Amino acid sequence: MDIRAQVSMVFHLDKCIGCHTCSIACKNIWTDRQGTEYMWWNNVETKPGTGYPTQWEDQEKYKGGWERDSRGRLKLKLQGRAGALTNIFYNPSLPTLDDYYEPWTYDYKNLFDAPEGDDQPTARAVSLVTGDFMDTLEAGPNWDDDLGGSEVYAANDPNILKALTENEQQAVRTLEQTVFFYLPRICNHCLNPGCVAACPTGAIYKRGEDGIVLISQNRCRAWRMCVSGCPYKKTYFNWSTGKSEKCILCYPRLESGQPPACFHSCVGRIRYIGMVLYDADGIEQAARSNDHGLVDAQKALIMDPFDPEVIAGAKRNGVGDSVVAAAQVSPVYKFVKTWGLALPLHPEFRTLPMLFYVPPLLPVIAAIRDGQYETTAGMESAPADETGPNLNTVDQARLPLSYMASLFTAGNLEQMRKVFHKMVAVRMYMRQEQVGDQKEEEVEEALRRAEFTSEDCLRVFELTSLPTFEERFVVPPMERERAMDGELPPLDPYSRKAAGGFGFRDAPARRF
Amino acid sequence: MLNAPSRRRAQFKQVLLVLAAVGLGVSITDAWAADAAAGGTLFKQKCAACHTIGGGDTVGPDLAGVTERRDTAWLKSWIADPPGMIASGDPTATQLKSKYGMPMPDLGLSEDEIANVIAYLASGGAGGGQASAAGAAEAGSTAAAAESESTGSAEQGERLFTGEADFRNGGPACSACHAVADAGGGSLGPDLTTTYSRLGDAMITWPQAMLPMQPIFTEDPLTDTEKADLLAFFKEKAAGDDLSASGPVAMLLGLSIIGAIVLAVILSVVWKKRLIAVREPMVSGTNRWRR
Ligand code: SF4
Ligand code: SF4
Repeated sequence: MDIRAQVSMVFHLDKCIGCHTCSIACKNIWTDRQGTEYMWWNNVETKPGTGYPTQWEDQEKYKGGWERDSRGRLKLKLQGRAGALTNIFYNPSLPTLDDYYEPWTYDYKNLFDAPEGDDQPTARAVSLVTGDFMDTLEAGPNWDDDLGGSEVYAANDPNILKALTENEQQAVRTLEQTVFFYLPRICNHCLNPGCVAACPTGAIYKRGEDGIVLISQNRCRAWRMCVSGCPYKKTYFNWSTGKSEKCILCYPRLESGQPPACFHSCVGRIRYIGMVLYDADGIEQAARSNDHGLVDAQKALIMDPFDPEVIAGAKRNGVGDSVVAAAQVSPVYKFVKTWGLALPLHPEFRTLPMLFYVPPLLPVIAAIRDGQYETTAGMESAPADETGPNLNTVDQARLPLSYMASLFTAGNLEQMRKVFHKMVAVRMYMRQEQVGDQKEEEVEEALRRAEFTSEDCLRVFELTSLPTFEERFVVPPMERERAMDGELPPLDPYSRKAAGGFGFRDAPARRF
Repeated sequence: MLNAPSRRRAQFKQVLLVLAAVGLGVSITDAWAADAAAGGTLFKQKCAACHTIGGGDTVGPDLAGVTERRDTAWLKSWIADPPGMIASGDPTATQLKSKYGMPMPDLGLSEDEIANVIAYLASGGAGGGQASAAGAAEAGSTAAAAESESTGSAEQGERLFTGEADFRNGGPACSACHAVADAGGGSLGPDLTTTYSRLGDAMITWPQAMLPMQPIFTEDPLTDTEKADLLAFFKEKAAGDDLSASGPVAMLLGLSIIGAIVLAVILSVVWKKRLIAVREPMVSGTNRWRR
């Protein structure tokens, strides 16, 4: 056992309203510099849709993440050592700027300064890369927001193309049945990061004390292999500094006990952050599991923070008391382990992402039928079998279960169905508690199927709908900060400090 | 406003036209006033190797009275570009070539120089007596060279060229200034490897007719045997060179083309999996939802 601490996250997709506040909060703090205009360390995508960069999920194109060779060993999909050598000056699998989008601003000045003329002055789009006027804007970071242009963008969602049958695709594209949900994405701060493995200079590292993955701006040599290696396309190349950059999980905020800015500002309050203790010895084994076993294997890495053995192991590795205490009340642990509601995004990329998603229970169209409140898919064709329409929500969802499974369980339908059953159970139970218009036996059947007690349902409800700030964000101030404040025995504040942040910390040595 | 540059350009054109007209006038009067004396010098340097004025036909025709036989415009273009005239099928040019067995070489004279030479010819060789005398002298030796050609030894010629064997009259070895393919030599004078195929036997008249060689070889003339030997040597080299002259160039060209193709093939294999673009082809093409 090699117990380490990781700051881990849960996004509850049922609550995301797609407002992009998180993206703006991040951009205002971190990526408003020259060369970073096109980066969205936090972005929010509409699903179905092609996302940002376009079709990032299609690893046949982008070659991100890991795959297993014939002997079951892990290797980067991008290239091996020989490939890295032949491509050292030429990375073949980079998204083009157009696949992200060319960032622009507007020539607002013209609105005030234009000479008098026959026409109303306009503010033309100006490229933030070249400074030239852009006549047509053809792409943006959320170009397909709310299914805009869905006949092209939703149609080319890799999950739809890959996982859905022709009939299911037909159903999704029918206007009256079209549904969507939002998928906010940040770096997953993976346990088995593709970006770290792909970097030829070793400039990327996973911080020991909290597992945050960072790119050393001093050591980055602009090979951009991390951009290809990350299957989530969450490292970006800064064309101005010639260094790659990525989400830093607002570690300066974390170190002083604050949640990252995107978490703090989230309007839908969908975001949870907390510590988990995991067994680093099992990482490789977990990442090599069969597709359908990946989620369970990853969950098995996350250890019970109350187990004395685990606590002892954590102590041996220098994990502080406050971190262990935080892991014991971690909302992430509850969603992922206790209730089994949260799933990693695209586990088949095998990077063991430590950002988990509670899938959206889609769609809920409530209708009163025969005096009964029903949360069926609202389909006329829904078979009214003896288990009752509410219980059928999952299999009649307008976005097929296979689509969700393609996103969250590497295609494992049973696992996906199980999670939805739990969500349906909570919903039916609470409805019965508060409104009382459900059939008793149906609620019981739902609980039995979900393997949930009424107590579980209440707890889930509380953490989903009524959590306080402190319950959503359980981040211990990092020990070094507290040591500086004199709360702990003195610790050299620099003793565990690695290089980080932006730009060079020291002036470059000049010999001439 | 947008018109301003083009209007300015039109004005500029007019000015140019006027200038050109004036220039033409000047050059026409110039032609009449062309410098016959300068033409004389040029004649000595460039023409006398093959032509005489009143000395009879040698390698090329006797040029006495040539300005009456041919009109000036024809003369000008003939001197300026003999191969071009022949290629264009000019009857006189073709006839001359067949009569003398070889075309006149392109002498690379400027328009002014040509005008001067024509002025000199029109003057009937005034002040050029020396040249025509030299030319006449040449005529004799050329004929002799032609006769002895079959008897020349290329080996002896090579030795003479490189200086291994001395010229009897003590002239300097050719290789002091000239190079020939494998034999090597200096670079002061032109490379003589292929000269024979251009000038034929006439080339041997040059040492005694052309500056800067003329003063040297007038004083220490080549003997007829030496001339024959040298010619045999040059002839052999020129013949050999027909095969090999294009050799290195062709080989280099071929190699680089093959190399480029091989490199392109290797790189296209190595970089086969290159990601060209995703969004653009997706939007412009393939998979759209149709209802
Ligand atoms: S999600 Fe983050 S940690 Fe994981 S591979 Fe991408 S950049 Fe690296
Ligand atoms: S701020 Fe929260 S609710 Fe808004 S888009 Fe981001 S994750 Fe969704």
